[in-house]
Amino acid sequence: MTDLLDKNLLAKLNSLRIVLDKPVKRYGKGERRSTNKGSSLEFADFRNYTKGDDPRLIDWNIYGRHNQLFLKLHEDEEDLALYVFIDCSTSMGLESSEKLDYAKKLAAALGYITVKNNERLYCACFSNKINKSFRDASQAQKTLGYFNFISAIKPEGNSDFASSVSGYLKANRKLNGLMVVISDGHFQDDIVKTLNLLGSMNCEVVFFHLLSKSDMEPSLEGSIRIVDIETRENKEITINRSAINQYNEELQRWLKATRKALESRGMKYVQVKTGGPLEDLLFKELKIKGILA
Amino acid sequence: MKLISPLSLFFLSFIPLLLLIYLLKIKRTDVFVPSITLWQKIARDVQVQKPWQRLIFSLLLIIQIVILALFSVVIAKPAIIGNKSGKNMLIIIDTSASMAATDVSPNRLEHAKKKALDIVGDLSKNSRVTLISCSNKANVLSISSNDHSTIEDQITGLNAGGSPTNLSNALLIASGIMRSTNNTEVILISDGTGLRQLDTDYPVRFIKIGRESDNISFKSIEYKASRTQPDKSELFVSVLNNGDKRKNAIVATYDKSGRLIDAKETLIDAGKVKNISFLLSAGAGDEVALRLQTNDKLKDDNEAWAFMKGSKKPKITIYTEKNLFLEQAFKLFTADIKVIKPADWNKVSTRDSDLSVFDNFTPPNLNYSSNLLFINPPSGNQLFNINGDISPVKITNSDPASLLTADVDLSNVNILKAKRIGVDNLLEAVVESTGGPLIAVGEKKGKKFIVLPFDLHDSDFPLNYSFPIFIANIIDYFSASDSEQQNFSPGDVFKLQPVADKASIKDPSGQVQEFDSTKSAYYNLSKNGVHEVTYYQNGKTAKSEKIGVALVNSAESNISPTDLHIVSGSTGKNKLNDTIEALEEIWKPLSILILALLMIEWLVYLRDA
Repeated sequence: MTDLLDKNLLAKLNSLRIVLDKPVKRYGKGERRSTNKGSSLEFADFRNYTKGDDPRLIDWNIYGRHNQLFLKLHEDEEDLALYVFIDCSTSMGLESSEKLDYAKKLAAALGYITVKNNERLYCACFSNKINKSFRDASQAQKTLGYFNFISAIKPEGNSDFASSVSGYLKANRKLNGLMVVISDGHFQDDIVKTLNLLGSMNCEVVFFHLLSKSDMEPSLEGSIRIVDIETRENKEITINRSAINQYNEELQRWLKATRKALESRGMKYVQVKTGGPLEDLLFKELKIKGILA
Repeated sequence: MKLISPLSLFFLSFIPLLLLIYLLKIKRTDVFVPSITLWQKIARDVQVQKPWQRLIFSLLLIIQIVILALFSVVIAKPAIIGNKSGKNMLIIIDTSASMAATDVSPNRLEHAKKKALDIVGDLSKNSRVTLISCSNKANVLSISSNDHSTIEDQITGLNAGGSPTNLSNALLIASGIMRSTNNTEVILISDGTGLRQLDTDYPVRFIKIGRESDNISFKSIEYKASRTQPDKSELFVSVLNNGDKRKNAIVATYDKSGRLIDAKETLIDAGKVKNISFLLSAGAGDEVALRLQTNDKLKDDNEAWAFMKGSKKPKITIYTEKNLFLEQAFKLFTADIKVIKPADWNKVSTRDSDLSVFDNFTPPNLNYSSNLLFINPPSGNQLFNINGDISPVKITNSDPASLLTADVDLSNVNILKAKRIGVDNLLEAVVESTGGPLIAVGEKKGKKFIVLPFDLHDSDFPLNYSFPIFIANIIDYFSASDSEQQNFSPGDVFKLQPVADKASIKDPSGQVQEFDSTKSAYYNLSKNGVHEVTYYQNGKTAKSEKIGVALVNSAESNISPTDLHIVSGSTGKNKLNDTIEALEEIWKPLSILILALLMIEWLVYLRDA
């Protein structure tokens, strides 16, 4: 358990909870205020009565004063479901699994926060298929099981988000809550297709885009053959200043395009440099972005 | 353009090797990246999976091929046929006294040096040059060298020697060098003074230096006690105008301490000799310096020295049956003459005689108590061999430098027959005929002897006006055995007389050279002025004499530039060919180009990297 997160961090995580911007569909009662009008004691709003409404909800006091039928709406309270998708393709395992390790820690932290707040947790690691999944650890005592699940993730296969996750999503149409995708963004398939699929779910989506130091500043030189770790596609190039400049331009263009594609669909994009401390991400950046509170 | 070592073009075969390097694929290390997508736009080096790759145009490759090609060409020693002379040169520069003449500015030698420098400058770099400077002896400065800058330095450093011209050594050396070299041109840069004809077995190009003949010089000087006035001395000076215009000159005489004694002005016709006599008081001393004050072109011959001749008249003993010619001739110069019949030769002591004359006779034993003159000696004497007769007798050569023949005109002398005497290391011919020497001199046991191998009665020589002069010369020659009054030329070698244990010579600057032995001792007279020779016997001064070193040489003073008549042949080996080696190597600019290309290649490499 402490392999992933140290005790101090775990203690600090107890104070955090996940914030949802979007109303989520009701899925059982929970401790979280729902945007659905429901059966709690908290008053929410009034509205005109229409045919088919439950007559038990009519506010008879208003009817007495105004001779009009109004329904009295109450806040609904519900559980949050957190869906964590970890990219475990081989590209995440490059450079001594720097990115995958970071992804595991991030997933562990988010999962811990979720479980601590008595909310439901789902986790799946994917490459070109769902390799493993972890279901519902709403009980705090199941944290250990979750951590063990995370620890056992190994990099394998090509990253094919659409084909791997779409099956899961289609089978779980009713998913709602917060969906977190932790990946280096190197998908073999079309990311737009994947994003459209995510957008069709009744979930809030946060995309953690992991970038290692060598992604940002590749330390290559001379005449080399670069090999795609997943597809094994290769290319012989000579690294010189202009090649590095071209790469940087291409990287920035790709990062910008990815961010734009996500944000235009109402999804949150968080760029994470894996060399930085996890605490900064959790306690600063995610708080600023309103993902954690 | 020509390549001197074309085999070096072999290096051009490295160009395909260079191309091969470019054709071969580079062995690359595999670098794994998360996705190749981001690298797709970077120009790929290779697109095919083969050990060979398509040759891609590269500026570097082009530059490298050019560098390699240029390098091959450079080490093949490219040369262009330049306009410079490709001959080898043997340059003889006359540095004799006459070359100091100032008729060309600044003087003839400087002019000659400039000509020589021009010749060397026009030579191609691989032409070999032999440089010989020559006055009375030859000095080889460089042999077959292509270090032109050193040769130019050597030419620049030449000085006029002050000596008369003697080309024979230089031509002998040149001849030796010509035999071993090829394609060599011999150039003689001289004013031709003192030379008439040049006999060589190779072609000689003569570059004449000088324009004018304007020079006045001393021809002869004689200083002796007056016969008529005991307390006076007489100085006879002949002054020669070598120029082609009538000219004025002042002859000034100075005593030992440099004080002017007397001066006379004279006007000398072109090409003529003017005799001037001075009657000097006894206070003038035994040494007089003479200076010619005239505005001529050669200053070095305007100074000479005169030394008092011994006033003692020689005692002469003539052994002859009867020879009136001889007796009369000698009587002109001295009254102290004994005439002895050969039969009485051992009855009269000759110990106090200065000169013994043997006419048609030689005594069985020679005691060398006096100097000796042999006239028509019979065979069987101790000094020289006689091998038959010469008839007819034709005079072929006469040593112009000998004191014996000075002012003696032998051209009208006829000799019916003469004895053929063998010339050995004891005898030296002064006048030669077709069959052997007619006048020969020698020296034995410190005494000089002269041989005339013909009977005066068989010749018209005694009737010739030159005969008394010859007799006077003989007396001078023998009295010069005490070597009084001699104006040596600078560069002459003075032979010390083997009469004492030790000797010393003090030169005009006061430097003294000691001689442990006077036998075979020689002194090089290099400085103009009076030299004092002192002989020591048993630690005491036995004898001292003075010799003057000055340019009193009519041939050298005649500075008129002479067109040499060069009689030359051409050795078969030494064919002049101007194009064979007239190649100028051009590797330097090519090397600079290679360096520039290397820099460009480096810059291109940096730009691409």
